Amino acid sequence: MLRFIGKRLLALIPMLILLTIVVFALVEVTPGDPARIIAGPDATEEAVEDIRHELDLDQPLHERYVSYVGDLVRFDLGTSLTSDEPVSELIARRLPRTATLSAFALLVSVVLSVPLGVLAALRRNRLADRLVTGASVALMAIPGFVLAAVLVAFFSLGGPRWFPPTGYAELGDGLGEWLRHATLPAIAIATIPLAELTRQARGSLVDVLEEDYIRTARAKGLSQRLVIGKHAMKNAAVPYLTILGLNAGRIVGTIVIVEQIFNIRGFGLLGVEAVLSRDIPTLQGTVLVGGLIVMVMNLAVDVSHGYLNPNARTS
Amino acid sequence: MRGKRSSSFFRSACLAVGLAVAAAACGGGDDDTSEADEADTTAVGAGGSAPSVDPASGNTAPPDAEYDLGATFTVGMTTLGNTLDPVETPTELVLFRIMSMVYDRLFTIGPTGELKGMLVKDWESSADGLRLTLTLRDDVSFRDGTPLDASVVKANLDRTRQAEGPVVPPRLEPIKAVNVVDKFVVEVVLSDSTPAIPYALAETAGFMMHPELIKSGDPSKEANGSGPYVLKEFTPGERVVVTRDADNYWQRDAAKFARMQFEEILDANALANAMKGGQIDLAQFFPKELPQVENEPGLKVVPFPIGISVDVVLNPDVAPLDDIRVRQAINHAIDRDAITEALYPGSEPKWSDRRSGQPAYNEALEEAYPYDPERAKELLAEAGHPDGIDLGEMLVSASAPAGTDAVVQEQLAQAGISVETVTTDSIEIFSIWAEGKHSVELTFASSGIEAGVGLQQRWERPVLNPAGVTPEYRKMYEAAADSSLSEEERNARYEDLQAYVVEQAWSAPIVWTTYGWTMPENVVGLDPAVSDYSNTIGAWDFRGVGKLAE
Repeated sequence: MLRFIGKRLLALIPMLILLTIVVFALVEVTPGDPARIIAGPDATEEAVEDIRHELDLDQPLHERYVSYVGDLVRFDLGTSLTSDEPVSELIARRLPRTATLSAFALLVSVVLSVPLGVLAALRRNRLADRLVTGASVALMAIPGFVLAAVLVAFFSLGGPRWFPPTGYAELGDGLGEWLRHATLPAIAIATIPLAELTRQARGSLVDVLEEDYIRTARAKGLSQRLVIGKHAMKNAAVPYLTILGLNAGRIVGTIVIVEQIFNIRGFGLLGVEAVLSRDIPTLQGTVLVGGLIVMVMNLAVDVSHGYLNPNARTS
Repeated sequence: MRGKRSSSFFRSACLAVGLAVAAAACGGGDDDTSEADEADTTAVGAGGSAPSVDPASGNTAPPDAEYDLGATFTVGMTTLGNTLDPVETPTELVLFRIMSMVYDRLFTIGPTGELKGMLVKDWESSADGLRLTLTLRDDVSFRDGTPLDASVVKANLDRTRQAEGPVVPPRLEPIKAVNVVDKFVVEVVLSDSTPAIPYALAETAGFMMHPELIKSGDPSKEANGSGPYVLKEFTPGERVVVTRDADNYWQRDAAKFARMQFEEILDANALANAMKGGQIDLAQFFPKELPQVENEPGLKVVPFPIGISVDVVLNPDVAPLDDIRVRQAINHAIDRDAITEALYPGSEPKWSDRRSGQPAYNEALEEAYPYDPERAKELLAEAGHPDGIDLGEMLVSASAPAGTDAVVQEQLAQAGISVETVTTDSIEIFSIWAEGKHSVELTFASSGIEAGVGLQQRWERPVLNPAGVTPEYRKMYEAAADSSLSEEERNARYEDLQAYVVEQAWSAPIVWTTYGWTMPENVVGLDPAVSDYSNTIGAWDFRGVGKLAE
């Protein structure tokens, strides 16, 4: 298993290099002259040139890339052009909000999708199955931002007004306060992953339940609980985890919109702000860290595959 | 013909403008060479007391009103900026709203655009206009007891004028030296006889910070002022919190909250939700966004008709706009009333560089170019373009309200004028326009805080007018911007100057925007009839705003 993990980690190296190239290229492909934008409308050519020099934009491309990677090795993501703060500090401040919210959304998806998927698989083609499957299809058709607006309209601005329409509380402010602020955004984020994971849990389990070894287990007189819990679930978990990994990556994208709707000053909104203000170092930092998060999540999925399915370690 | 507007919002806007005009008529302006008159001094000295009672204004508290002095007041803003330093800020409009709670300033601008002293008690300009003598109040000090005297003013003005900053330092360029004459008297030596400096000192450039902060602090992250509140928390781009820490502030009723919070809410829909959900107490909405909050129970909207506009700007250096008839044709081709009603409800069509209610407003220029596509075609034919013209790319500021470019494009097309709209970054558009290659641009414009400053900023900066001004304009401007003239005389000349600009058709102005400030019903004191800066920048100074006790 350790060898398998080592191999997967080695496979990350070319991905990391590719990621740094893509992030570095952001400066080149972003329209407009960053130095001119930073200098402001009334700046002289001299002032613009000074800024260009300060940002190393007057250096050859390959030299800038080497310098950029050198900084990354020292965990130096640069300094925000708008706030003059180190980008690493900005990310350290904003990322925990997004991480806790994403983890909450993912937890909700998993905790609900597994029992619903099992229920639908065990009651295949019956009312419960149809209800779960139908609801999953319906939820997959609702974009997160639409659901967010509906949730705010019903639970923040109309009716019981249980949840605040904007803002976010840190976990340190108390679990109750955090839940009050995190619940609606988490639902908006979790809905599509929940629907997909429920369908996947159902489908995988239905497939596994038709396998010979399940029939054998049942023939041996094992209880339904043991058949499902010990034999079927472990094998059904492999494709489920793949979809979970994909959805975890998707959440990184969804959260950008949800944070904007709920005005949660998280990592996603930091990226939006960086785009709007042409804050190149912050934009590079958020894309890099976002890419790293997705890579780490994919690694976690691969490793869990290897754990659940020994054949995957050798393939 | 001007269209009929029946919304209560527009009526309120008209009422506000009317009151502002009436107040101007009653109050009069300052005299450039005299001491501030007694009325001004009283107004400033008592400026902290609740804004004067004017039941007709709609949002001013009665004199016996009881305020909830322990209240927290939360202001939602779509941007907060990332620095607290007046010198560094690229977003002065934003910084002023926050830091004017912490820093006192030398001057202020009354609701009808009149210059008033704040820390300055009296001011006097020399006969040649090259020396400005400021006499300061003698009862203002910082929290550690350091008096806010002439040496503090010199330290602050020297810092600002010598600093490198994108917006604020250039305003003080005409200052050659600042001399301490007496403990509370400062002499400002100017390079030319511009009357603009006191007005600049009514903006962020006039903020006075503690000399220790200048010497050894970091004003971008910390603050030390003599104002009614102290800085408690600053998270760049997220939140600023200030609190009231004393009851003996010189402007005695300025601080009516125990705590003020400024929260950044980037998205306009989220801002509206926060307002409706009771999370914030005050927010500004663009005309098209107002319906989201306008009829919400428990909330009210106070319209501020201000000096911000949306204009089609023309470049007379690029053919065929070098022909005045073509520029005038463009002006006739735009239906300002239709655009205003459809896209800027509650706002007003724009015809010249000053809005009604502002000093130097020239009423004769209203309807200068009535909507008349046929007349536009005639003018084009006279200019040798009977089949119409193609102006190529029209630069459109990315921050211009959605839809305006499409409507303008369509209206121009009906008069035989074709343009291709190109949405451009709202900052970069300045440098692209300054290159002078494009013939037409759709962007925001400002009347400025004072007529002369506004006209100078508008027409003499290449980033706004790459073609520059004509010798005739320059002559007229120099004759007007003379600090030896009375304000009335200067304004009369600025009116003539605007008539010249309109006749030359250097732009096709479209609409003066009216922003709606939304707040709960118990919030009072923010009112176009009484609030400083009302008819130029709008709701800019929140001193005197309060929540009525239940």
